[in-house]
Amino acid sequence: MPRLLVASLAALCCSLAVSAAPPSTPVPDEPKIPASAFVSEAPKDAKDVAALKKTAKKGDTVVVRAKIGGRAEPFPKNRALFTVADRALKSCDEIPGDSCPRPWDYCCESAESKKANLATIQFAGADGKPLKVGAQSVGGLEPLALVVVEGVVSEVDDKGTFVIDARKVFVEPAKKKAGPR
Amino acid sequence: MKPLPLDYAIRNLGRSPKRLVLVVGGSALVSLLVLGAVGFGRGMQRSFAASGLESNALILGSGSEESVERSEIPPTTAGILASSIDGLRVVAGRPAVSPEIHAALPVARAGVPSDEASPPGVFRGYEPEAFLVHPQVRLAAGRWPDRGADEVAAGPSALARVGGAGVGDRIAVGDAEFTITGILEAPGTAMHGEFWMRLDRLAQLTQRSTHSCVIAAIGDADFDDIDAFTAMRLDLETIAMRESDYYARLSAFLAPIRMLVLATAALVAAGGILGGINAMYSAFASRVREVATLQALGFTRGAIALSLIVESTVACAAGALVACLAGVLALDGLSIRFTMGSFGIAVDSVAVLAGLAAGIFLGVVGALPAIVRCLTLPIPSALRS
Repeated sequence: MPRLLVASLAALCCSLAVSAAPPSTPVPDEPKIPASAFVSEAPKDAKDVAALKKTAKKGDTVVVRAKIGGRAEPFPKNRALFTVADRALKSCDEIPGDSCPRPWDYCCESAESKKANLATIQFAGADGKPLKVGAQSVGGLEPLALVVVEGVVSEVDDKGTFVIDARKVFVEPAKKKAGPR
Repeated sequence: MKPLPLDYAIRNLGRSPKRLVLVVGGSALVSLLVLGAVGFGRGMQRSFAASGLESNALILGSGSEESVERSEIPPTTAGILASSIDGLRVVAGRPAVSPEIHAALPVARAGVPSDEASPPGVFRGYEPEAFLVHPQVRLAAGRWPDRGADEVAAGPSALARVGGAGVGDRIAVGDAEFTITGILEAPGTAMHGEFWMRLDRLAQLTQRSTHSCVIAAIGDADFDDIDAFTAMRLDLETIAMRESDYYARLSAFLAPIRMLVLATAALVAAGGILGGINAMYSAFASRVREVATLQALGFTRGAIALSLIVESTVACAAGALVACLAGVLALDGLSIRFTMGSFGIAVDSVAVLAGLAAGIFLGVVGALPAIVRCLTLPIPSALRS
């Protein structure tokens, strides 16, 4: 009889504990740029930004080679997108004697040149909008990094807007500068 | 240690009324200087903090993050932004998205030759949406300018630039003349020192086809979406930041000026403190025999030193209180004009505390050399002096 009493009390306590626990609410997953988006080999048949902007239409699958930059902050803080520039444009670090603190902003280029040579790469979610997470430092994405991106053109107009939804991103390894011998 | 009675120190203050006035006056000046310098810095910081709202996004031309007056963005930006971002605040069916032009222009009262040395006035071209994003601004007198008209509204600090002109008076802006139709108020913000005219008229006056910025009330939208918008609409060449961040940067940019004011005040105060030390020294040095007598009566050096410090500190603290009173009555809210608008000196609790601390510091430090002089002499020598 005492054993039965103890067992009943234990069962009662357990059921109270279970009922007192707060209902578990599903925690939404933190948005994350999928690691599979970064590939170790550059997608084939890449074109420069300027050439692509002249011909590509919305919905086209394209491969673009570019350099990350084009504005002072090429990576918005909490959105998975970044701006790129045509590799033919000279960033400030390629101009001898230029000590620009943000060489990726292409401040020496004219507005017209920027319109023709800049594009936006985004990692879009199911709603077509960029994922709510910053892209800087993910998979080696940094200002002035050379990238080859395969994706689908999601926005384009004749004023200069050119947005690509990235599917594959290849970040070229940084070249080591030859030191004095 | 048997201390000297407190009233001994207090009564000693009245032995030389002229010297007391000198000490209290000197302390008041030093305290007022410190209080004014701290109030200057606090006022500048407070003005910038109140001018920019965290709930507003500021869209500027890329590369003009430091100065909205240098910024140029296409005039279509406001419309594109309002139609591209979901959740921006809407009031009575109008999106709270305000296109603006900011310009610094020479201004003088009409008919009065302008003083070329005086800084230019800050002008803001606005549309009615401006009142949805700048709730700090209200009309205190008159009416707002009409679209396209040669009319302007001005803040009280802006009016001070044009000889205290009022509603109905005319001012010359460059080669054009404008009638003041209203007085705007935005106390404690940079806008209190601005001239406001309609956007189209200021664009015409400055011969520009671009705007300076767009200010949008974020509402239920996400600032990061606005940030992303500027990265996607590369044709607009814009950047986004919170309005509060812009003014915080401006405040940081002007930090050296605040430091300069504080350093100048510290240097002048140091001179005042040296003067105070000198006054205390001469006051106490003449009491060497009295101090020696107290020692002969059995009071310890510590007790005598404490009494002298109390005597000095009470006099200097009285001066500091006078300074605080003068600061609150005469300095608080006093408008300081500078190239980017104006701000009021803020004599708040921090400034008052700094003024009081300066007075008390002067009292304690000022007494020390004299105490050393009085108490290091051998008692027989001191009694014979």
